[in-house]
Amino acid sequence: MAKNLRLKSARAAKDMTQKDLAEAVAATRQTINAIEQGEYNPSIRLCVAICKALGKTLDELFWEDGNDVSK
Amino acid sequence: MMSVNEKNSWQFDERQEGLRGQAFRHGYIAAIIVIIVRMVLASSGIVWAEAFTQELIWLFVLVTVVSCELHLRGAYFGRAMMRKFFMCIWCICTSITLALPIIDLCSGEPAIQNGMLTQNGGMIAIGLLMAANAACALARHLRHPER
Repeated sequence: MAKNLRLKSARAAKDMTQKDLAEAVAATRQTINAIEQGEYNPSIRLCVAICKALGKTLDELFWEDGNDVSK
Repeated sequence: MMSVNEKNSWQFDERQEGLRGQAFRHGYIAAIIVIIVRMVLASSGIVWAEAFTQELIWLFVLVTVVSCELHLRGAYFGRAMMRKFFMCIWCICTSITLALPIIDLCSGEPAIQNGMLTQNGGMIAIGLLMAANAACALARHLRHPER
């Protein structure tokens, strides 16, 4: 699974740490880290919560295209 | 939305629940395998240790399978302090469980006698399983150190 650099950059743009985002979406820092590293495929519910917390759409954060960095 | 704080909550997020589900499913499969192996050994008349020691070893095999998977896949205790406390207690128990029979072994008490594990041998087997569990916890800690 590819690393999710868009999530990482969107989080950084909001000046949020992994822990901040984790608390905002009722998850753990490890889970956010695993999503960013491409080690965990989140449920649609968690994806939506992350998008709302970061003010982005599902497409902007989670739609994979050819530019994604493979592990 | 309710916050899930790793340090102060018994709640687990979806990933942690998934990890637990998978680990316990594998533990369930391991339990079925253990039951089959025990049945085969019993029906073949193979006695490899005293009955109590055998059951204790099988129990620790299952505990080790599940807890090693939980450790290695990054599951955590509901409370970080509780985890540290449990790991300290576990390491102390492992050291005692391994040290005592090894001392007996050095003083000439055998671990295997007449093709069967002695009580000493059983303790070493259990100690090794406990040590494997502690090693997995340590590996997990080194990979994802607690902040």
